[in-house]
Amino acid sequence: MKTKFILFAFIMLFLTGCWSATEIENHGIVTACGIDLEGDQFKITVHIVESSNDKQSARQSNITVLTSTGLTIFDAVRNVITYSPKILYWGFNQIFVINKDVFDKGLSCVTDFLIRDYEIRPTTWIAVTDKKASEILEGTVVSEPITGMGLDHLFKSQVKVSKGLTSQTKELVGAIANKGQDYACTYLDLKHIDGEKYIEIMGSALFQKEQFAGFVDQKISRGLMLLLSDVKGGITPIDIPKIGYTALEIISSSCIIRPQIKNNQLSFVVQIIIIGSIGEQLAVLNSTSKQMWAYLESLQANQVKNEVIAAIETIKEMGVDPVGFGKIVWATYPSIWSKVENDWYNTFRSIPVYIEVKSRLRSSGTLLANLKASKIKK
Amino acid sequence: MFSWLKRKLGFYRALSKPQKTNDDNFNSSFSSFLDVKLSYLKTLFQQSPDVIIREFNIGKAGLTKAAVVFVDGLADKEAIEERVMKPLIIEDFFANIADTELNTFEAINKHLLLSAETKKADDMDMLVDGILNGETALLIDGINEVLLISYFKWQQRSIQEPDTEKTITGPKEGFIETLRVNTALLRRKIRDPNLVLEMTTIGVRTKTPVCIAYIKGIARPEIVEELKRRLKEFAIDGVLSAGYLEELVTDSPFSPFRTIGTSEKPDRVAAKLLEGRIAVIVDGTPFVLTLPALFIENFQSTEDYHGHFIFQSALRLLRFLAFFLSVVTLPLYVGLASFHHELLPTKLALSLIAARIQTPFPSLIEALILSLFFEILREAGIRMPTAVGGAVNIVGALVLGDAAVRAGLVGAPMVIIIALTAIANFVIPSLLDTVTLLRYFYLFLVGIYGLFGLGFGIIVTIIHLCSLYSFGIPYLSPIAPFLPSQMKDTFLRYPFWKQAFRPWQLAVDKKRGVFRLDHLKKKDENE
Repeated sequence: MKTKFILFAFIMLFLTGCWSATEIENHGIVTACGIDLEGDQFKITVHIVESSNDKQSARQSNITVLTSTGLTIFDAVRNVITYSPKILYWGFNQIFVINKDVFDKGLSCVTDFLIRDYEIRPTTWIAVTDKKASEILEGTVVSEPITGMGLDHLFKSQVKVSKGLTSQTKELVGAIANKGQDYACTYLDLKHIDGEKYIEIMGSALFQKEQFAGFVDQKISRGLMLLLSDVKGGITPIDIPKIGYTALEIISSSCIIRPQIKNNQLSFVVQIIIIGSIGEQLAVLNSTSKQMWAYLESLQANQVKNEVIAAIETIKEMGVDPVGFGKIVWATYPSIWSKVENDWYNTFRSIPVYIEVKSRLRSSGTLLANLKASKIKK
Repeated sequence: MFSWLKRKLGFYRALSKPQKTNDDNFNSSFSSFLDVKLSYLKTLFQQSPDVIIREFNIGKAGLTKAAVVFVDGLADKEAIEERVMKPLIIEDFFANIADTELNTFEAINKHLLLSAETKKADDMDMLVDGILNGETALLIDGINEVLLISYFKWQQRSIQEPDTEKTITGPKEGFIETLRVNTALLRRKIRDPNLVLEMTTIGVRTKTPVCIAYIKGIARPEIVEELKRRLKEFAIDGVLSAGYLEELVTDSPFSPFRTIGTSEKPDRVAAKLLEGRIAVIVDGTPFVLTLPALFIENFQSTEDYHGHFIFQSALRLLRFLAFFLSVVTLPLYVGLASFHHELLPTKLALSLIAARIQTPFPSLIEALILSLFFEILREAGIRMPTAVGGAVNIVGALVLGDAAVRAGLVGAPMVIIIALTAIANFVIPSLLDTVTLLRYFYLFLVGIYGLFGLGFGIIVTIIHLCSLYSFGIPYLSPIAPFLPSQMKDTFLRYPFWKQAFRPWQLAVDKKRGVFRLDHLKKKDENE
């Protein structure tokens, strides 16, 4: 027994070697990846961080752009090694930027590698663009030398403005497998300022099942985000007729969608609770009065309602369902769902959606009212 | 595995037990003739010039031959001259004694010697031992007895603050090399007649006096018996420090964890005695062994009990953290750098890469080189004379460390990690060697298996810790076995009024007696 144990320990310790040990500096650290179609092949564009140990450029990491093509994405990834010695390491990849045409091959096929590979983090962002992905990745992010890191930061900051849906690889599985809800992610484009190209979030990219359906702009995106309870911030500028603009800041929002059947007619009731505060007043009005406060609240409610209606009209028109109305039907009325499942997008167009907004304003910042307004009052 | 090795060891111990070497003929009794005894001693100490045999005549007529035998440098010469020889040689002192009484030491002892401590030697062995111990032998012709007089005087270190256990607010005295002074230091802390100081000698040749100290009524008698049994179990020619005994009586000699505590401070040892532990004081070493020793004792500093309990509790938690850091940081770093890159935050990974991009070695080799380098520095720093030690440290730390990074031989993060490890290591001085061993063990495992190896190593360590015993007490108690009622001095140091009981595994008398007095009264009334 003892001999066996010692033998076992010996074998375990000395005959294994440093299995799968790779020094961190020998990897090509991918921070961003673009996927395009080139003819029949996939073309990937990766950003690799080049770190240098020079005293002058310490902490100044530079990016090297590598491209390669392959019959599949993974093939293309491996083909990089034919001319770059560093094996790509995906653990720190922040974003996949995918050209919309790539999705002709089907969403689940394109993203298979992104889900399957164990090195790719489930928290990697996904964005779609109508330009070439390689072109988008030529753009930079303000004050971030590493584009991938900058985009990660940019996406995380989006909660403050809520102008584009965001999606990570971990959401892909659910989105593809779910019945009655379509995948949606961020729409990226370039913004030209003084000859510099910056990457900008333009709105959202919507899918219809496996196929790419189209882009929607920032406004519609916010409507969708309101429906998805994704809005955690953002500005609602309200034009009060003949007086001027008041900017309300969203503090939080939540949305509950309930299906109901009345007179054999399916309909949705969308209840949105929106809590905001007065962020800025260009309008000279005394918001301290109860009536004015309530008026502003109602204006906010109106604005939100309009945005949501516009969003619903858009998705009805496009024939997509990123919000998951179908999923709600499937979960609540499975028998109805089985009837309408095959023709859901057409059915959805004819289903009325009633919207109720509960609007609250919580504070007015450090000012009670516009200074001029309070002066008038005195 | 350890128990098996222990059994083997016991076997060898039994084998190596030497035969008694002394000539039995001389032991039975002393000859009454001085010359016989002296000639024996003279032959015995022929080549020991430090043993002085001084012959002189005593008695009313100055006809009786006598001699004192002592070791120069151990016995107090002045006192022998003044208080032994003077009364014996000057005849006036004999006025009160009848000649007949000179047949025994009775009268001399009673009337002539001005010594507080005398005893009769039973046999030649005891006589020789006594002389070598520093006692003065008085031999008189016609008396078949030998008197041993205790006049010790030798050079000894003064009582200083020990280097190993510095304290800010606690008592600063430390043990020294002389056993008697050490027992006195203990006695000065515990003025209790129940403080038992049992003397034995260990070492066939060194005959080192060893004192077993415990408080009767608190310490568990079984543990005392077990200790005595173990002390008798082996024979060794010399015991020159407490470490010898520690290794010979410890439960698991192969374990990197020490199941016997050492301390250089009387207040710490006194506190252990009061908790029901046993102390072993070995002559010739300022380190006193305390047992049974538990794992948490390594984290208890004497400072804990001198300062405010809240702050000191926080410090104790800090010590646990430091222990963990010094063991785990280096293997963790190697594991992250060469196996599990995905565990690093992106920015950290990028700066790590920037720091390591030009280093030629894999991180494991780098870690081994640097930590070996540190161990050499540390060892050199200890051995060097103080004046040179500083220079060595500067050369080592600044010149080599910095230059190695600049030259691109090692990465800067590794230097930081090694420095952190090293500093954290010194927070728990009693675990220094253990931590070093563990770290290399983990480093080795991580080099092979990555962080899986680290997890494996930690589990093995915990299992090993759980299987350790110190004189019958589980080494990891009160953590495992989990004894919530005993936790009051484990992770946190509870205030004294909360610690009403001694650790139950250690003490017979469990009541520590720090109940508030009014509390006790109330209890009595209730009863």
